[in-house]
Amino acid sequence: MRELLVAVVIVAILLSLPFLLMSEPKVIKVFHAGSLTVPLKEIVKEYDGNVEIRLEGSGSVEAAGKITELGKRADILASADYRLIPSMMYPNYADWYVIFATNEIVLAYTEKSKYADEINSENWSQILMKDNVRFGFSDPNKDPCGYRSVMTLLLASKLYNVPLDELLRENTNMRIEGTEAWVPDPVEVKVERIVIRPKSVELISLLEAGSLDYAFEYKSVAVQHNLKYVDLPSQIDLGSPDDKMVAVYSKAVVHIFVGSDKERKLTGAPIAYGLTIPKVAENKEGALKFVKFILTKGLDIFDRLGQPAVRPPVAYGNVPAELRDVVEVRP
Amino acid sequence: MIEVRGLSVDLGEFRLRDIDLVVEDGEYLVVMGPSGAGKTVLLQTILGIVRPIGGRIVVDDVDVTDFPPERRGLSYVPQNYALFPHMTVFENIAFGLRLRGYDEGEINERVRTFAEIMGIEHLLHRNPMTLSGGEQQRVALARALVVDPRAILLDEPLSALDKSRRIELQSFLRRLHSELGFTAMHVTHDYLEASLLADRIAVMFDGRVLRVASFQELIEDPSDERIVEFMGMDNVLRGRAEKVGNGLSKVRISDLELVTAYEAEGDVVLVVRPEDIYIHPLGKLAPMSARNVFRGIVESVEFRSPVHVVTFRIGEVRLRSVVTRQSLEELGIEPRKEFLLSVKATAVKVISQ
Amino acid sequence: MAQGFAALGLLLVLFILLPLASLMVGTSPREVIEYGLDGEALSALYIGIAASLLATVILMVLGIPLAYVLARREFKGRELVKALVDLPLIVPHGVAGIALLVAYNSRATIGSLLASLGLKLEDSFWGIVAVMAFVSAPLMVDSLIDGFSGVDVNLEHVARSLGASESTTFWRVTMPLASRSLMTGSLLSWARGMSEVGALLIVAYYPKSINVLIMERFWTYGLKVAKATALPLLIISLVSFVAIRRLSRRV
Repeated sequence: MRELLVAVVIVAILLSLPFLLMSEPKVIKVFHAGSLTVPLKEIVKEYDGNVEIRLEGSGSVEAAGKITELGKRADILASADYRLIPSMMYPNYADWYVIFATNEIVLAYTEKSKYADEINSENWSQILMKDNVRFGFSDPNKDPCGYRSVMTLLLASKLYNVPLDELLRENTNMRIEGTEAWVPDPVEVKVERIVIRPKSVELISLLEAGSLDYAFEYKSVAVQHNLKYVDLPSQIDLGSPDDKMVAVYSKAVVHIFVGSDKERKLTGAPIAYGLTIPKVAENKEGALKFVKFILTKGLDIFDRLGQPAVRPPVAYGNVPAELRDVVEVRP
Repeated sequence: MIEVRGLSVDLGEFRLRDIDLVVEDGEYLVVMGPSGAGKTVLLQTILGIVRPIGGRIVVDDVDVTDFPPERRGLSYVPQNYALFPHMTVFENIAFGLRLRGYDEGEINERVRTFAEIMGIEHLLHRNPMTLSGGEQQRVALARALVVDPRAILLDEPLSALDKSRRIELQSFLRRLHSELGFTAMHVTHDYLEASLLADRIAVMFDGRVLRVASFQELIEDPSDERIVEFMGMDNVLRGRAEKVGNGLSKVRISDLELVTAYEAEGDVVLVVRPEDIYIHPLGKLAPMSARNVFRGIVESVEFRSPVHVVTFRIGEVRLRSVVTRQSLEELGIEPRKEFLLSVKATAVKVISQ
Repeated sequence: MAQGFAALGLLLVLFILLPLASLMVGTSPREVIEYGLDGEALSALYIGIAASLLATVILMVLGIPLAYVLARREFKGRELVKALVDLPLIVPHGVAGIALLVAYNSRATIGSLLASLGLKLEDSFWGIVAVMAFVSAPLMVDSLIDGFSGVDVNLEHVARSLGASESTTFWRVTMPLASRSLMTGSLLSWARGMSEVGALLIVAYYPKSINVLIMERFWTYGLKVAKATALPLLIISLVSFVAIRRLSRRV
């Protein structure tokens, strides 16, 4: 008995020794949206910068929250909605951002999903209305994909004249009026019809397991996970940067964290990814170099993976000098 | 030798009040009393397990009051023997010797010697939990004695055993003590056990030591009602006494009047041992030295091995006497018959006034 | 009654077995090698095992004295201390992580002291150890308290009377008799540490321990990859448990 104990103690100390002797490596910490995981990983692979790049994925709102609320120090923040940077991080945590890629909302499914062989871009809303169909989207309070999905549903409801808004009203605790929705915190659903998860990628496992029929996802995510998907009309998929579409998108309004002091109003807009280097970054130098790489060589990778790059990337605010030659600075 | 001076302990529920006690070298002192009297607390305080709030403890002329248990040289046998279950019998006995740094050879020798004395040498390799109660007892004793302690303290060591085992071990302990001559403090609530083993008995009640005396002395002169009650003495009577001169007193107990050789006045409590009440057939008695002769009617006869207890009624008063079967038959003692009873004045003991 | 007990017991075993079996079924050896045994996964396994072992050892060293005092010594507020030590059991893992971060992050008072010694909490191996120790503490301490309480105090008294000091009594009598509880407590602590995720995601995402890796792969790549990544861990845990219980029985 004693020998066993002594053995355990010795082993524990020996195994931990490397960490004691290891010095703090040079790192770049990147807090990013879940939907950027695959392209960022690719980019990290291709980057040759003699530095450890640590990618931490989460919902975009959570990613920003880790910096603003938990006091964590990231070197780069990449959000699935560029607007979160000015709304959550200005002025204390950031004062500029760059839009570098876009995306659109699709309806993902697998061959296990009900009516999988029937569904298309015309009838998808009717299929969702069926009683035995279960669909899901991510938590609007935590993930931009969530509130974007709700916007798509609101716009679709108006476009197709199908009572999808009624469906939402009956099965969640959201308040819906026309194309405007109020999402309380926490959001509650009747799980027989609608499923909600903090991150949109978590819905994928449910799709694969067969316990969910349809999920609103970014196109990039559907592509990267080899899922079938229904291409939705550009009037509702938030994927077109066209000015006419921007006006249509802006009809959809979603309020999140309704009832708390974090309440925010989000207006429909094309899905555009934004990044910034937070003011609290510890490795600003390394971050700048890496961001430059993302905004040049990295753009090809985004294109390849279903997230069309914005060429050239468009930057707003107090853009650092080192990046001014790779972006288009707008006032 | 153990000397306890003015020892006081306050454990909330249990208290010791100002205890003075001496256990002489080689003496077998039995501490006797009802549960709750504080006997175990006394033992544990002397051992050093419990801290006193006042008083001193001196062992072999060394004041050990502030010493931890391991420095007092007193061995302990608790009520459940507390044999180390993770060691063999041999290791149990050897435990104290190992602590003292004896070498393997000496330990071996000593353990075996004691095991033989205790009659358990065939059990040395066994696990103590597989032994019977009596065997465990002996191991506990061996373990306690092998280290040559200044004294050994035993807490109700025989209470967990059945009657025949208990008697067996009582005689064993007695022989052991006369052979080895160790100093012992033995706690019990069984006064018969005390009578068998004790050189002296310390009677404890309610945290105090009432008396220290030999068993004989206690029987003949209980001097305290509580001792009488505790020892289950019979024929305890309450009455009013009056001195009548010549060193005698008369005590009125309802319909009965007894003469006692004690000088007493006022309200008293008396005790008469059943053995001291003689039964005679009605009629004229030959002259004898008994001051008390009176009639009584047999109420009941009970067999309490090996004697018969005869309960007599004298008016409202009840007295018990004991007779052999032979006397029972010879005198024809049976309920409702009347007999003459005699008691000597010296057998009427006044125990409190 | 014996059959009824066996039947109910079997129900529970199946309840546990089925989900675990489903993790293993459908994962090909190739997938296991590709995702479960690649460089990242092996490194993550090493970190997880090393950290949980160290956390367990730390809990042994600190938990044994605490448990002994709580088991033997009566003092005011004893129940409060016991309840306090049990809190990590109930606190949701994320909340535990946030709490540890707020209390010990390298810019807080204690945290900065430790940081100057090279022991940073956030995103470090020591942070992982701290999280695991925090969540496992109740398991170690409760088990030891049970163990020590079960040792007849008279045994200690007798040992003292025979000449053993407090510490000798503890090491030769009390601790050996409570060794089973130490074994159980350690096993549970190690296991609990190995299974921790929620708090780790908040306090120390990096260096990536195995559970963080599994969750990350689950979110990024889906179920299949996560299963393959988790399989080696499952097998190691199973083997370890069986081995340790075997070894302890022989003692």
